[in-house]
Amino acid sequence: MTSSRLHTVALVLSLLVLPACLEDGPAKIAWNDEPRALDDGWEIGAPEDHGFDREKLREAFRPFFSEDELVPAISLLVIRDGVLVAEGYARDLGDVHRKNAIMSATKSVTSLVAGIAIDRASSIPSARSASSSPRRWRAWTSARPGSRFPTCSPCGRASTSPTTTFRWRWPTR
Amino acid sequence: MIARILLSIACLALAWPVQASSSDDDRPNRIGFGLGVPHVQIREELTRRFRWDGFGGLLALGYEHRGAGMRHAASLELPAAWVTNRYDAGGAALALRLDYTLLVPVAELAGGRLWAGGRYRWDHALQYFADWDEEHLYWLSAHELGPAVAWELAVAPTQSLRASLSLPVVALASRPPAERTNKIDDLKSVGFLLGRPHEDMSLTSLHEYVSVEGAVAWTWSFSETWLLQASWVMRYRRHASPLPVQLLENALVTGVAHDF
Repeated sequence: MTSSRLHTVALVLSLLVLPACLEDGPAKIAWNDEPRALDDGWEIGAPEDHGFDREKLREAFRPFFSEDELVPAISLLVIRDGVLVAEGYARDLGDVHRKNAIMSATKSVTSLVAGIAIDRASSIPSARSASSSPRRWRAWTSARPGSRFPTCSPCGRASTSPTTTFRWRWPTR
Repeated sequence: MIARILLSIACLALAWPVQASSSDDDRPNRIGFGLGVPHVQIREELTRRFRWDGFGGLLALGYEHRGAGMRHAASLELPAAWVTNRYDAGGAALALRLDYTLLVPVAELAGGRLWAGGRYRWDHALQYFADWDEEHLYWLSAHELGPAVAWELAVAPTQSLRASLSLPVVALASRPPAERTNKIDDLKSVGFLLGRPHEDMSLTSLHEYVSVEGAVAWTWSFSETWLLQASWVMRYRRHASPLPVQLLENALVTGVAHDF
């Protein structure tokens, strides 16, 4: 093989290899922390009206939107007194409508629901006899891998606020 | 229906009258075994838009039936790589590739011989992002069909160079759904790893699925029936649905082959 042919082969190989690198794109979208009015029952308010310093609130959001830190969470919401004062989405603004399994967070939500139910003496399963029927409560609150988990929709705006109606959806098979 | 078409093409190819040359009469068959080092890059936008990349290992087995009028080649490749992203989150990329290539000589070109034909390939690429998403399997699995070309040049009595290119134009491809709410992926089951990506296959083409492979191989016949081969292979695949995924693999492969 002549040297010119070898050079040609080397050139073709170089042209193929050099640009052969996938772009390492941003992990997060542009900063967004203003709640959007979606007519979904959520009251939206200004942080200052609910005791927040806006700048300090933004500081709290900084790691969430920083490319230097990878936070797998897709949403960060701040709610006080049942009012949504800050709302950010790191992956996609459309994630406000995304349904996510909440896994072990179920326990936290359910305990809040139970507390509210007991406080109001409502008829949520065995609320009034919770202390005497621990098994029934466990069955109601547990979820194991492989089973279906409760989801929330809109995911970002599902809240534990006691002043807001719960929107947790329990899937059925 | 697609399976019938593929089967018919395979039957036609196998029934094609192969005209063996005098030099190939004695040993028209070749089997080969190779080991390689792939560098794998993945951009799976179902996670985020960053890149995962890393090195791994590759095992390759091949069979070729050679004649002057036609070549049939089948190969199996099993690459695996450990990949990380820029945040040092780790993951694994595995694949299973099975292909059949049919080539016929079409022209003499630049001192070598140009072959053209077609290739069917099952390319089953799986990804598991351990530090990112411990719950789910990600994949790009496709049964591809398209043209393939190869150019061969004898550079010495016992050495040859071969460059090849394939570009599937139609495929049955599968991707994970955009949203999975539950820990339903049975990641420890081989049956799940092979079966789940086949549940949602859809017919697609270049508007949505692009797959291209280029390779350069050097072969040295160090005895009458044994050969040493070293090759560089680049594969690029992209699927646009439900969110884009891109896979790019550069592999250096070396192996031995035996003619019989």
